[in-house]
Amino acid sequence: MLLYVLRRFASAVPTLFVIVTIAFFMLRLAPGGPFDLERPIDPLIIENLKRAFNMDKPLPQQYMLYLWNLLHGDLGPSFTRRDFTVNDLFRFGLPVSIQIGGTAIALALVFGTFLGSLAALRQNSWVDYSVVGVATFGITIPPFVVAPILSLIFGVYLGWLPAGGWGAPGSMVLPVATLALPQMAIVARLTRGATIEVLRSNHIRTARAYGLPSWVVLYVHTLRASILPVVSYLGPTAAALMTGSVVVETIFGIPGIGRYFVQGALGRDYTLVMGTVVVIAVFVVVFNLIVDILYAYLDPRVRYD
Amino acid sequence: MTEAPTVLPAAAGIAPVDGEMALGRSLFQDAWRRLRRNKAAVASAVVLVVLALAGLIGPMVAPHSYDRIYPQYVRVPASFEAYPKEDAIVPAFESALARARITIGATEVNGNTVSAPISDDEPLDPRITRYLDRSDLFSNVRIDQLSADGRSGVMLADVSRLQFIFGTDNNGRDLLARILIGIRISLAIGVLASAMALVLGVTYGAIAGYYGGKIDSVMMRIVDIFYSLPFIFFVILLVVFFGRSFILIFIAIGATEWLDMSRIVRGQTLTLKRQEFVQAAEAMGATTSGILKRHIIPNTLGPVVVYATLLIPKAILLESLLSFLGLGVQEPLTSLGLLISEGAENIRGATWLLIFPAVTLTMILFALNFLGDGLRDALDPKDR
Repeated sequence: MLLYVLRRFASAVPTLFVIVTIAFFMLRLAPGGPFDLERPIDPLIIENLKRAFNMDKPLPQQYMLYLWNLLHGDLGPSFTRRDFTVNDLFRFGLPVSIQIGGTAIALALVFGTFLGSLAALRQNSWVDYSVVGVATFGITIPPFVVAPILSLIFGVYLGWLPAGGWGAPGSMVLPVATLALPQMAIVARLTRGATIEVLRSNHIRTARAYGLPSWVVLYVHTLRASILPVVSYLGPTAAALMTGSVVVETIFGIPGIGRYFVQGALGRDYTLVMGTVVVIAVFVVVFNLIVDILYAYLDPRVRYD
Repeated sequence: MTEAPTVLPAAAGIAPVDGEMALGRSLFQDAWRRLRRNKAAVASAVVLVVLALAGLIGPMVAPHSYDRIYPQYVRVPASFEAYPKEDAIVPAFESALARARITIGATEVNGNTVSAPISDDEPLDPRITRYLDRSDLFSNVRIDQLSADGRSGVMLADVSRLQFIFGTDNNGRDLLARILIGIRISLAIGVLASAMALVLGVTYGAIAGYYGGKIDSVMMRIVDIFYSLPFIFFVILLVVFFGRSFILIFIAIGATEWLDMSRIVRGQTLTLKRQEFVQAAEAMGATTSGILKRHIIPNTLGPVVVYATLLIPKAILLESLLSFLGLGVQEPLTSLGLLISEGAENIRGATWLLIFPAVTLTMILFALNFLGDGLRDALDPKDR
């Protein structure tokens, strides 16, 4: 088990390396630079700036330097936000994004599996149709439509919740709802499909033939098998949500890390963009690992090897 | 399963029961029949055709151009009534004319004309009509009943009635015209990006699947690596660094969406290449590219068509997301995502700016999803 985890981590290192390398050279070879301003600055100042950010060295040397610092957990100083290192920015922003994304994922998992299995158990009844209908709705409408509409209804018209901002009580509700709704819809659909299939399978028939109480059949045997596709879906999704959603953070004005990438790319903030790429890649790797371990735990046919 | 076992269709074809030769139905005829029976899919197809026509022809026949600015009509709400509203005519007339610094009598509105007696200490300058002509509200401004000394007369102007069914935006542009051009851009990017993903994915997948062996595993390993990259970020990077052009947007989206397609086609090809008709073609000495073009690719079309239909809404969403972030098409051109983002910024006080584009985009996405589901059910009956 421990060996398996270690081996998986080792196999993720080349992927991370490729991602970091591609991102680094794409950024550096692209036109424009962090010191291109509307107003021309004194070349001497630019030279000093470049020296301060190690940009006076040849590109391969900068790359090695970046890798070296990265291995020591140092993401470097931000180019556009003065006096902040990229590590600082993530220390402030990441907890906010994890809080919102984590809550959304938990809600989506609980309500999604509940609604999905409910629909599967009452297949072709009105319960089923309404769950499928609502799920289709939730999947189709993109978050950048849902977010402003929720903000309009609950923030502006009804005034029940803050329309945006962070810190006030209840300010988490609308962003979490925006993120959770589509995920809940997808989870419900996946659970429904899988449950319908599992209910017809041999081991459920055997469990019923043994005379096990129906709740044991449902919650122990059926759910355990039907949650598998949900688990493999939620891995990368959880990584994406916890690293912040640029749409939700923009609309609700939340100080998470979702906006760093676009802002950094627009301002040619090399270290900030690289930092975002690294953080996201690490999240993806970690969550894929968690999914694989959970999978082996839930499905006895899967072995660690 | 209460039905009695019937004659197998193949056997029925060989030995027709009622003496007539039963006509074979091709896969696509069968699929077409099933699709027509699916009401949601048919309705979606109709909605899509209407929206596509609206995007194609709409901007040409719309009463306003999408980039025409009406300074007097900034952020007017959606209304079926023509603008200006009756009670807005007189104040607009008087405030425009006030700048001429002449004495204005009682203003009267008579149907489509406004009139006011005017007088001044000096002879009236005929150029004062320009104060009114400049306004979007009035046209054909003239001075009537000019007295002999030229110091008094009646100012007449026609009221131009303009329709803004969906209201106007922050710059005073007609929202309906902008939505129509937005539909055109969004659909065009969706279709072009999907077409690009289609060509790339089908070619790549067919080659990998057909050659098999080392070539296949190398090509698919490349796809796996691409999968693990956070690709939406590379789209953003591409757009940020290489400028925001229509062509780059759809190339960037197409280049990120072909991975699934290549996997689907590869899987299909793996089963197809062992079939007799492919072996026959090989035995007859057909070239590899000929076999791929004539035999493999046409036979993968079923799942490919289904996936392409579901790809278009994905591409539209991706484009809308880019536009929402301000990385998509540039003003004065617009897309549905850009309109929604403007609407979200003006949510207080100008809700119509959000609601109409949001409803339009939702309709397109729903229609495409239902049509895709219908096509899947029709072409792949196993999956039902």
